[in-house]
Amino acid sequence: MAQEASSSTSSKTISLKTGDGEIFEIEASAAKQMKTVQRLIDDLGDDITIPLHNVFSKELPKIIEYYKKDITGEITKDFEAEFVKDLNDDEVKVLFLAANYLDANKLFEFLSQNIADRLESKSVEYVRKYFGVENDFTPEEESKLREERAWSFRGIKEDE
Amino acid sequence: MEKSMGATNAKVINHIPEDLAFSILSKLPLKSLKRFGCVRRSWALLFENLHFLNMYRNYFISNNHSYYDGTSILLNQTNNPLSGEAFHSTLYLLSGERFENMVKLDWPPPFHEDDSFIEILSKTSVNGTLCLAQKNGMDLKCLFWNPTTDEFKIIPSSPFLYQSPYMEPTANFNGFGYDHVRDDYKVLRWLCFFNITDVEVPLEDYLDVDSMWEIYSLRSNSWTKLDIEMPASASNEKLHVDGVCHWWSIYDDINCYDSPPRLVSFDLCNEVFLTTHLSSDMIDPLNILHLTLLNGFIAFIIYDQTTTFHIRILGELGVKESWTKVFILEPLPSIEHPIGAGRKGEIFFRKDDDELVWFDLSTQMIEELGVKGREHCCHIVIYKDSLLPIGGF
Repeated sequence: MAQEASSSTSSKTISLKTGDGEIFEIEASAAKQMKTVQRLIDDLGDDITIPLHNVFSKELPKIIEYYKKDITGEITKDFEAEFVKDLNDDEVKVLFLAANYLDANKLFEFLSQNIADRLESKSVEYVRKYFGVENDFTPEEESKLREERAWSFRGIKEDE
Repeated sequence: MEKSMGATNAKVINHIPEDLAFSILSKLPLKSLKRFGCVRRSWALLFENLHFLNMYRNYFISNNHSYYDGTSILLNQTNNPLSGEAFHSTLYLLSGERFENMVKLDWPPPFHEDDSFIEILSKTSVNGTLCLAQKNGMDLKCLFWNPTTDEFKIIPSSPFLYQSPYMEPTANFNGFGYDHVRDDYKVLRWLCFFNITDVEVPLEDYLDVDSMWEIYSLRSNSWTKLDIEMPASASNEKLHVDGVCHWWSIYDDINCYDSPPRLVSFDLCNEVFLTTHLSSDMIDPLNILHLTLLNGFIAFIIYDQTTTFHIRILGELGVKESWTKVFILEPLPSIEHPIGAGRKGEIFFRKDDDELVWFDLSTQMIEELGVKGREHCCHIVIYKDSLLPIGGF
């Protein structure tokens, strides 16, 4: 029988355990914003350490930091800019995937916008590697498409 | 058991599943999206993928372009009078979530006696100032007006209008906007001269040209002739965004012959223009084109006369391949003419019974405004109020 998550008083914290075995605390009201976590709390109770197999100790504190700000209503453009300022493209990607796993919608939307901004002027090859996708065009198909869309390559440094 | 996560992480996280990829891709500008079509096959056809298209559309509608910060919507409406009755232009301020509040604004004094066919140039304000124009036979009235402070400034007559007693000008006001380099307000106008008499015009009174471009500058308070060959506007849809005036034309550069429709973009700062042709599938003799600004993007609303409207967003100025079909509106029976777009994906239309309505792109609902308007004479204006004096100086 699933226990009800206790109604959020600011003092109630939930323990989260990352895939690499570290434990972090988060306020219950912040945990509520991450639907995956909330579901696990509903299933397992809020006194148990919630296991998050696909999130690791490098990302979780950052995510917790975001939602800590969120519950106090302090997320501003400046905060968001500062939040991603020192992250490289791969680090943002990991956070993005973690936000997806945690079903943390607000962070997910913010990070997808940030990634879009980072990728805007990138080359085709960079984007392929970034998304981890294979080029399934034949060489003829690809060169034909590049020619048709030549205007979209203007001013862009291609890797090859 | 502790695993060394480093290497395994890298492999596992390298691939982003397609539906997650769409969340990122749907937020990219059109130029990037078109380039990334070369990444893989499924991305070449993004705009034919309904799942992606829905995400792109939702983001497009909900993403508030800074152009609209602090703006309101004005409706410039002209009645459709019964025979014998006069024409009147009426200006309304629309407010409320569903535009349920319509407040009539009074035109400035120069238009009190005759308020017929008043045009609000470029459908926008600059620092709270609107530019109004009226063509009444031989009379060309043009003035700047701040509806919030009621200040107005009449623009002096151009010295080029009546250079010859034998030739009468008609004018086409092509744009009003702001030159940020010189901090100047400008009005762009095309004059076309006709021989009004049957008398042979003496050589010394013959004008070199039968049409010319002129530009008014508030700073110099005068009209200057522009030495330029540029297609003039073929419609009432003229826009101003960031110092560039946009309109569309079906004329060639010397306004002599018909030409395939093209977008003309005139930069008020360096006074040069750029042409963007329309892609061949946009040009059909049966298509009715309407140029508008949709959520900050230049777009054509195209009506193919089967109750279906397509909206094409311009990806890049000057690139005819970059007109991207983003929205399809159907069915909209009895609706023929768009009259402009609002701030969050609302499109205003005139129905064939003259009722003015608005269409919400996100909900696909149509609502009546409660006022009727004459064909080709009703327009939506994006207005941002300001208490600054006209010209700011």
